[in-house]
Amino acid sequence: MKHDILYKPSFAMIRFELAPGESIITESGSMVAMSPNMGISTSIGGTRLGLFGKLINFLLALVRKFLGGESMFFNTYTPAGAGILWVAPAMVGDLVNMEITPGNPIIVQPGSYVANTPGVILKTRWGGLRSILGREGAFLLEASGSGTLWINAYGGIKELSVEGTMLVDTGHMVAFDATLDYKLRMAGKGLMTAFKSGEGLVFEFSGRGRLLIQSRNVNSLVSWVTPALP
Amino acid sequence: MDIQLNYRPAYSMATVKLSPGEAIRAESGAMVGMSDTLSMETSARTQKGGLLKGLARKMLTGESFFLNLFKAEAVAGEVHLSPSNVGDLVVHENNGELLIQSTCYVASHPAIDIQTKVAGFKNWFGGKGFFMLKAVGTGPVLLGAFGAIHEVEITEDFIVDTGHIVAFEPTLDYKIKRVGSWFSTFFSGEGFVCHFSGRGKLWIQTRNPGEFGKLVGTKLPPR
Repeated sequence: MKHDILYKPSFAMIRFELAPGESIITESGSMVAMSPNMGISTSIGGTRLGLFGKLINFLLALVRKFLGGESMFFNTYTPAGAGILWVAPAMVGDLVNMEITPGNPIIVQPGSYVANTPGVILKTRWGGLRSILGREGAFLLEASGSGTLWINAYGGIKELSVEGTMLVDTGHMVAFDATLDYKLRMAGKGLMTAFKSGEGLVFEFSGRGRLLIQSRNVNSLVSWVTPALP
Repeated sequence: MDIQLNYRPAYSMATVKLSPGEAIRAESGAMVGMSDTLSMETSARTQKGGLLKGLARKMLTGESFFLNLFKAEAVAGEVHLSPSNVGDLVVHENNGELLIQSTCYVASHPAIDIQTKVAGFKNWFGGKGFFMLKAVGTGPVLLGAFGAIHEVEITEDFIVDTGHIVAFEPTLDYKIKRVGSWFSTFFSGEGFVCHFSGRGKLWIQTRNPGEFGKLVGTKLPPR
């Protein structure tokens, strides 16, 4: 498999060259172009087996859709012969790939997930109340196993090295090593209005690990667009 | 006529320098600034009874169907044009025909005829106003994209998501299809794709306005 990322940093797109039988898993809606011999199968994620298990997978996918706002359907692309696949996220901004190694999972904000190689296992991790209040949606994705994970951001991506504690505005968090603990708190001595506006809320990360942030904030875009709507 | 492209690839703007007597046709809303000496004339995109159809299209899709003609009369002047999307601009020297996704058309030489009825693309495809225009004639055409513009030389069959098409040469055969099984069509998020075959040039944009709109749209407060 060959892959590279074009048009960084604003409109990044992944270009895959797949050998026969190799697969790539991507988020739904991200295909730009592909060779005609590409087989696609859509799945709803979740690793439960059996009819009842599959039903639970489906229900969880729906819950994720409504609570998280993310569609969270996954497409697996496998070409019959050699094939080409170009993938781009919906959001404007940069794309990076991260190597996932066994025992070192990475937590990703679901809107930032783009694609992964089949060796990577994706699990839903309930973010808890802190995630919902932080306006990040109700769940986070945990990527474990072995392989490559592609993530995108709204804006540019910066990798920080946390040693001790670090505060990040909730809308700017993209991904982090699972070795980090995180807590929701006010940036300063806040008021109750901080809960309504989402302003003043930050994630406090502690421990040692990598933390990826994005230079733009989707919530700010939404607040900017909303009054402009007819 | 001299066209300079600045601020690529994300916030591109074109500066068109016109000598006396020269003109450029642009989609309405593209003008950023212009010399006081230029004249501006607005016309409907279609002629001959196309007025009602054009208005109907505006009601249905919100697509503006007016084109502006900027002309330098006795004195040279310049006009700055930018597309409404965030992304790249490219000048294509047209010689013959070019099929352009309507949101990607920014401007063209007045000698080029812009036709709005294109066979093979039914208006309801894509659901987000995926209309094609046909540019016929010789001269520069200014194309704007949502995202970066990637030029592909098609030599073998290629499938492209319809929201990512900017423009292509009519030497290509194209067929709109759905992706995979019916389950895939609804849940894969891909919907309709365009299957290209034959030989020719194809320009794609690396971001999909429909997907971006959906993403921001779902986060907007209810009205």
